[in-house]
Amino acid sequence: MLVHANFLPKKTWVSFLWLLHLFIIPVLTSAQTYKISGTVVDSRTKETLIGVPIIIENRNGSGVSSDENGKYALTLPKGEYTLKVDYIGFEKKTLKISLNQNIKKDIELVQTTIGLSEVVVSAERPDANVSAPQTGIEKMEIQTINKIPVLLGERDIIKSIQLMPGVQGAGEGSSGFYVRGGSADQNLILLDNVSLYNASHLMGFFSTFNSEVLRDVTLYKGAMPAQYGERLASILDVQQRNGDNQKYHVAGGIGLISSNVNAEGPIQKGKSSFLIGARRTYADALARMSGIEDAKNAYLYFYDLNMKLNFALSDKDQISISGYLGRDKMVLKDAAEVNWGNSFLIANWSHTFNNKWTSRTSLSYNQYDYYFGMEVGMNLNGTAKIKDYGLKHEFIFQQSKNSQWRLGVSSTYHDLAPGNYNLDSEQKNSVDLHHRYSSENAAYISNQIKITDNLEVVYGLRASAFMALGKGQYYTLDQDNNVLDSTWYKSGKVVKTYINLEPRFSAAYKLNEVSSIKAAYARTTQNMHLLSYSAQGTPFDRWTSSSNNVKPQIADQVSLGYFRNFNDNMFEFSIEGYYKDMRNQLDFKDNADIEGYDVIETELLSGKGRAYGVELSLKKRQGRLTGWIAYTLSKSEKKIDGINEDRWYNAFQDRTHDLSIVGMYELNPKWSLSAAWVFYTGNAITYPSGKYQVNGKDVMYYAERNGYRMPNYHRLDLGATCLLKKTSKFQSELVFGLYNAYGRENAYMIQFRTNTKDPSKTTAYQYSLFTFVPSVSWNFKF
Amino acid sequence: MKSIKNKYIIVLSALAVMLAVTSCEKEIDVDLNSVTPRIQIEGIVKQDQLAKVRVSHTLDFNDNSGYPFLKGAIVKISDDAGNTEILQQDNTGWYVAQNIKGVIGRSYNLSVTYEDKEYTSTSKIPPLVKLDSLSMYKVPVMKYAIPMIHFSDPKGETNQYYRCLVYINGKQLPDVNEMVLSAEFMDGSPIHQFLPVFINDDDVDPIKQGDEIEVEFQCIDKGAYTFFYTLSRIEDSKTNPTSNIKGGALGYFSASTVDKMTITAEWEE
Repeated sequence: MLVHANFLPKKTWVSFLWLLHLFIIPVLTSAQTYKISGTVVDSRTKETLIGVPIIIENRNGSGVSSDENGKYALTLPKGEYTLKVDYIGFEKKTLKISLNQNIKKDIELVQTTIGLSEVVVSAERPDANVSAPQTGIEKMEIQTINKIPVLLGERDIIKSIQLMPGVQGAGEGSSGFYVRGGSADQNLILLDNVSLYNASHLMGFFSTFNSEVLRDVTLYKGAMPAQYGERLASILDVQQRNGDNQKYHVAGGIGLISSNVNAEGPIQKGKSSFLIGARRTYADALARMSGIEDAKNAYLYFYDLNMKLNFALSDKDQISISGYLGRDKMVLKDAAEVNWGNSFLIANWSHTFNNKWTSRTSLSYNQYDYYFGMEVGMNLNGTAKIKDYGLKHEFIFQQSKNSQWRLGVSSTYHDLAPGNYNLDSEQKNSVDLHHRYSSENAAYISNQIKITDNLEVVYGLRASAFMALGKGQYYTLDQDNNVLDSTWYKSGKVVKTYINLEPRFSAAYKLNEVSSIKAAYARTTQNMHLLSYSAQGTPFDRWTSSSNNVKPQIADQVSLGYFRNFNDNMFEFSIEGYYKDMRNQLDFKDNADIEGYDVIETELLSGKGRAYGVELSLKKRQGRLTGWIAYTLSKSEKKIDGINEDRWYNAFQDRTHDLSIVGMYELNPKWSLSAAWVFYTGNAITYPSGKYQVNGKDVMYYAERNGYRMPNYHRLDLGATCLLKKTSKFQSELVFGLYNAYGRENAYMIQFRTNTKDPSKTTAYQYSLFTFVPSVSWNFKF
Repeated sequence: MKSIKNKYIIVLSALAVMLAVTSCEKEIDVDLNSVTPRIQIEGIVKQDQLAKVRVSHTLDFNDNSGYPFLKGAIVKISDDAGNTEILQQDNTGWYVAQNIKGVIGRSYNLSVTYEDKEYTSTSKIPPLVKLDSLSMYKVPVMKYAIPMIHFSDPKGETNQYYRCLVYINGKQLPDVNEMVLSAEFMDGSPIHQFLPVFINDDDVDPIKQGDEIEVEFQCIDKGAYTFFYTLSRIEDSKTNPTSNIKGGALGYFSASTVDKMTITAEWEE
């Protein structure tokens, strides 16, 4: 995977830090006491459970929680102990231990909830809303995501997180999302720690996540701990689950638009497992629904393949390998084709030194590319590609029960090939836009510590070093963005280095057992920038990296909130305000030339942005009725010299009100119902300020950038799940959905143009998609 | 390069239209602010035709009273062969020359003075390139065929930019985008390009069997090309096209060659 000799950063201090940290070998302290340790697993699936609290009775509530690998360890003096294990979704368990030697005890917990989907719960304490020190975080359980009714029955994590406060969707049919007023490319989307450049299928109607193979989803809304970086606004951390290493299973679903199947099982019973998932849509179904007669000449589909392998090499070593391959294809037979997709492979090695030190190392290769081709008269085609090679290493040091440290380094080598075009006609011609190479590195140290009973803090520092590298042509521009001259840099030569220190801080101060105040500050930077001509974005948008002309984007975010739980953690309430300052925000100058143009930097303008808002949320987590209400009031603006006469203007993603109400109800052991209602202010949009005529045709005149609003958007979705059969060998369910149940025609696009029937007038036309869309799918599991 | 992406964008749009499942279109009323009208100029010097200029201004979106032909502008055209003329407004509202005509290879200067402000521009007619032929291309998902032009771009930078106007039975359709193309990527090559005759009206086909299609093929200079190209992108960019007129006027000044060719629309169903 490390094919390029120069990927290691050249900058001396980073290399030094790298070498130094490899030689920090933790020293084993000999135990005067005995240790109880083991793994906490779900009794049925054998999936490891994270964050499970194991409390020692009669010891003032002291205990531990299981870690990211499901492992726990308690070191105690010789004696008799009772351990209590109490975790949401599982039956309480009590263990009596006689401790007179080191004991290995795995704990199996029995699920209490019904339903086909795995109850795999992410790392969370029952009172996390109040006590967890890291704020600005949204965690979603796959079980919840699977209950939320969605478009065409396609469960979609990205649509589901848009129902959370502070997170807004880019619009109907788009998979992009905005977090706290940030743009769609300011979110880092990680699948098993690999970043996906395009997390959507088919122009944004579906996302690249096959929720059948996922374990959990965590969204950091800007305030993120030091081990994360690379994007300004958020981190969406999606983890695949492990395969069952005891028994084989096959599961799948057949729906109106797509089907999926996944298989898992042991490679070596108890020691290693595999999980493979596949998903595909049917062009036929879509074509039939579109009502176009000649649909047999058009192909529209995507597929996804997910894979995860786990090997426990020993008690102390685990290896996992994750892979993904996905592709979208749109073909007009004998005329044109476009396709695009992500693919990656990542190998992880976890090593446990002792009960205090663990380390994780990973190696990854990641690629995103697109292709378009045209055969009408002439043969024209083009591709663009991004390749990432990554290496990460992290130490986790459990200093004490109240303090955990993380130290790590990461390095990614980017190879951006913005375009290679070929003409194959009577003459052949081809153009290769210059690659942009760069090395994105970081070192971080972070500590989560419970300082007193009431105060818990996560603080850290991330140092990022970004290097624009050769080989390539780099340009010097004058203040009007014209090219003055250019320099050719040899392979691996450093063109420009940007070093940024990113302090991170988040604290929870408990006012009492049920309420707390949390505050956070974070500085984030971003060096990969997505240049999109249209606000919605397309798979063919161009990525560019920081260079001698393009500076890293930098943001500073502060937040302050009040958190309260009611009824023994049944209800969670929070109100949180944030303010974010952004620098080096990019936008295109008017009528920029982005396609096929090598010196893209001459087309870019930069300036600043600011976003602020208040998020309110009330969640009910337990009982037959669960759900939440999330409301965000916010503003997001930009000020870029050269745009809108140098005045502040609303960013496209500015959205004053955003309200989501979601409810899920277990009617009886067979049926569960769900409903989701969303309402939001329309996007800021540019409408014409007048019109004129060119060659006898109406042309719109624009004077106010983003000075208007799209109409308000609101929609109700309904869903129902019927458990058909549930035995230990076979389960199946039917999932019904109705998207946009009251048929509101939400504006997808508004066009101002000559009236279709009366050319002497100009009229505004509103286009909307998706009203009253029903769906049915059948899911099964062996 | 622009023409490459232009093509696939067109195809992609056609595909995206297909994907627009159960999509609805409806007329709506939008409250738009009034702004000060902005002056707009169209200056045209076609090969072998008298120069003509239209001086107008923008209207409010909901004002359908008709675009004005402003009176009292001083419109002057001069060429690099020493000719100068002040154009007089005729009964069509256009300011029309009596003597100055488009000559291949000549450079023209335009000056329009209206209400004490002057707007100027320059445009040069490139060498003549003619169409080799026209053909009809049946688009796989549409019920009609569209015209396709065939010509050879001469090697070198003097001929780079082309523009096509389409007349169906003598009329231009009000919502069809004109095709402009740049031969930068295909310098010196034979070029085969379809003309995107697509309209917003789903009930009517813009081209029917037997229609007479006339294509006016122009060679234009870079300033005019930039205007027409940015004009074609206005839906996405939501910014005004880059005008080649100095002084703050909207619009363009284009001196061009002209070649016309006709084809009768016929295709196999």
